[in-house]
Amino acid sequence: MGSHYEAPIRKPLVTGNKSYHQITVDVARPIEGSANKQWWIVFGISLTLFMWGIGCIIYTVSTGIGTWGLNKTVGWAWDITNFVWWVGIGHAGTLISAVLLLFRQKWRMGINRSAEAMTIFSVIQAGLFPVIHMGRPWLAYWIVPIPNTFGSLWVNFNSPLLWDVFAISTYLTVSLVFWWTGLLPDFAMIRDRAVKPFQKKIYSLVSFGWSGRAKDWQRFEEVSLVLAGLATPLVLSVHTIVSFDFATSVIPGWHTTIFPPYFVAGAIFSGFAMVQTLLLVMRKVCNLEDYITLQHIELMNIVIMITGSIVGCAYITELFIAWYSGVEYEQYAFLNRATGPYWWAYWAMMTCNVFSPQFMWFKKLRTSITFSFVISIVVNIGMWFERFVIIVTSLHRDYLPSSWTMFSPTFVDIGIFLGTIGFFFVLFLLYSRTFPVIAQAEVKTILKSSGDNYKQTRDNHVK
Amino acid sequence: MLNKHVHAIYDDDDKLLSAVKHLRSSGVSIKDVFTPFPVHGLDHALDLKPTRIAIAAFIYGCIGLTTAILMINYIMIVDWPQNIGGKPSFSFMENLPAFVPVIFELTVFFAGHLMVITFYVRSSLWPFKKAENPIPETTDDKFLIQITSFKDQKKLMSIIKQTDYHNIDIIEHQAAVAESNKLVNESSQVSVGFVFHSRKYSNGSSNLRIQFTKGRGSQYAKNTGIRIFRKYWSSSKNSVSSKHPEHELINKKLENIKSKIVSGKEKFKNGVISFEQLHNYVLDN
Repeated sequence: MGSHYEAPIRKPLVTGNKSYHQITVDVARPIEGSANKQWWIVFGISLTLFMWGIGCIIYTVSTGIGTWGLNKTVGWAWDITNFVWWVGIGHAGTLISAVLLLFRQKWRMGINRSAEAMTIFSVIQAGLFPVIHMGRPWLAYWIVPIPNTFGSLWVNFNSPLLWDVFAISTYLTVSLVFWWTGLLPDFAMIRDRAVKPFQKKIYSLVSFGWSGRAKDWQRFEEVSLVLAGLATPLVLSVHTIVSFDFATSVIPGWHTTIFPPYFVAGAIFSGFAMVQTLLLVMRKVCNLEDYITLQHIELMNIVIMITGSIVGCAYITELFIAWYSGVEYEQYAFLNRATGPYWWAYWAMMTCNVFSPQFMWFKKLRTSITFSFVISIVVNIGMWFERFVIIVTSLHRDYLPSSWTMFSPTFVDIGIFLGTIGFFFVLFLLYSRTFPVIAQAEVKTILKSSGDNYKQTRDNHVK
Repeated sequence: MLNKHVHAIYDDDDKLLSAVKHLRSSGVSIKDVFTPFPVHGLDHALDLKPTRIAIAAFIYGCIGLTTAILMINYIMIVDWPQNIGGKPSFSFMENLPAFVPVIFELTVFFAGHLMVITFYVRSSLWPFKKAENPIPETTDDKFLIQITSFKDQKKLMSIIKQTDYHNIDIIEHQAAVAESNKLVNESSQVSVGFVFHSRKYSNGSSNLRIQFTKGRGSQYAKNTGIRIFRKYWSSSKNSVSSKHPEHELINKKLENIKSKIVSGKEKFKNGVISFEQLHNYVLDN
């Protein structure tokens, strides 16, 4: 027992008097059982949205970008807003699985699998937008540095948009192998339990013949650690580079040196909110309350509160620097944001992102499941508005008052956005029925230190 | 027959760890240990060498860094320098700050992917790979110590019985092979029939042979040692007609072979003998 000691002050992370076998059974249950009615209803809605989105994408590609609400002053709007929003959401997955691994935070183990799934699914959504916005997506391969038999030019390595290409593709693929490597032992568990031949075949295929040898585990742990060490600067670099899309420009309201840390904090903030939204539903539907406990929810709320406050500091810093810089264009850009025709978007952002997380200072509120769910949705809305405010309000009133204008989305803009939400949930719902949604092999390693039954036995022993 | 495996099975990671230490101090050589999750301290107890995969990742990262620098230098400075916003286009070092993001991303890309590929190759993990854990419960809640080389089974048993074990399985290798053959053989059909050798002897007789066919792939024929004229052969009854002077003797031989074919097919199906050994069994008398 000695090596499994954990301070009694730490709350249990696995409740319900579990044994190793019980963990296996609990994690395998949603996969081995059949889907209930609610699942089919939500899946049906998501699939409809997805199909609607595909329709709008086909319309855009076949007719042209003119189907969007863009105009000559506002050349970037919902597309890039949605892109940044989705990339940002993805960041929480890597933060939970990589950064918290480096910090040896055991509570990540209940939630990392789903958070990483969310990362991959949301980065896929994000990647769609730049490709659609190209207008001719079949030429998307021109963004890779290929020998210039297609013309006389190479890609431009000075451009932040090309940095994005490298950042997003590295991020997506490295997250994917990180996720899959962690999945191997859990797929193997499902494989070894499977009774239906088709199921056995599929899980044999995806588990890559994992056998759980001592040497394999040694390598597995080292690979996880090194990948976490690589993914941590990677995830910070990705949103830094996304912020460079704006920060390296000369548009007042965009060329702000505070952008990289501010965007990264915002990304973690929105990502944790999305994890919270998804897991609050999943723990209920899949009966995983013993693994995603109130303690997990409370800790995620604390992260949301802290990153929300960092984002708030960034908003105020921006305002201060705009005033302090003495540049009147910069000053006007921020005055216009807060009091101009888009004031409602600015104040929606402020309310959702800066004020609403402050409720989490109260223990009663941050341990309330309903309240956590509401706040997580509010934060997601607020973070979408943040990107909208940064992008559209900085553009719509440029240097020439004669070209000042407003942006309003068309049904195609809205349709594609809703379509990506549908696509995201289609992927996540399929995932929740076919993948082990809890990293059960990892949870088993902390059962003896953080399981309520083991902690209880130790406490009684001490007394 | 002599090749026996002993599987000592435990139901707890702490019991496993102390068992591994006990077995090793008693001089038992452990082939492998299968566990459902990484057991802390097991690699030390087994004296596993530390893995060098992190060093490999560092080297891969250096390769990525070099590749990125060479690629960007060639594209942006050597092959087609352009004036982009007045940035220095003829000097790599002066333009370096704008290249840092891509150089960093490619370093991570190479280090991450090549390390994972190395891991998959070294631990032989890939799609369609068959799992090798001896019992399926080792991915659930059982811990298994595999011992393949020992001299005195009784002594080994007594050592294992000193530990807090859950179960002991003794696997006889022959049986294990038969089991795996069975799986293979069940899926393939074998047919056996009589044919004549195409070559005729000078007097017109030819050799009666048995043809063994497995699935669509492999086929071979062996002589029965019976040499007859084709006109005496009845292919519907698979026997020699009564016009042959020695028909009684030959048919008796054939009956013997036919019964061997039936039992041989059965033995093949159960994995006792392989397809290649089938003729030895059928014609062995």
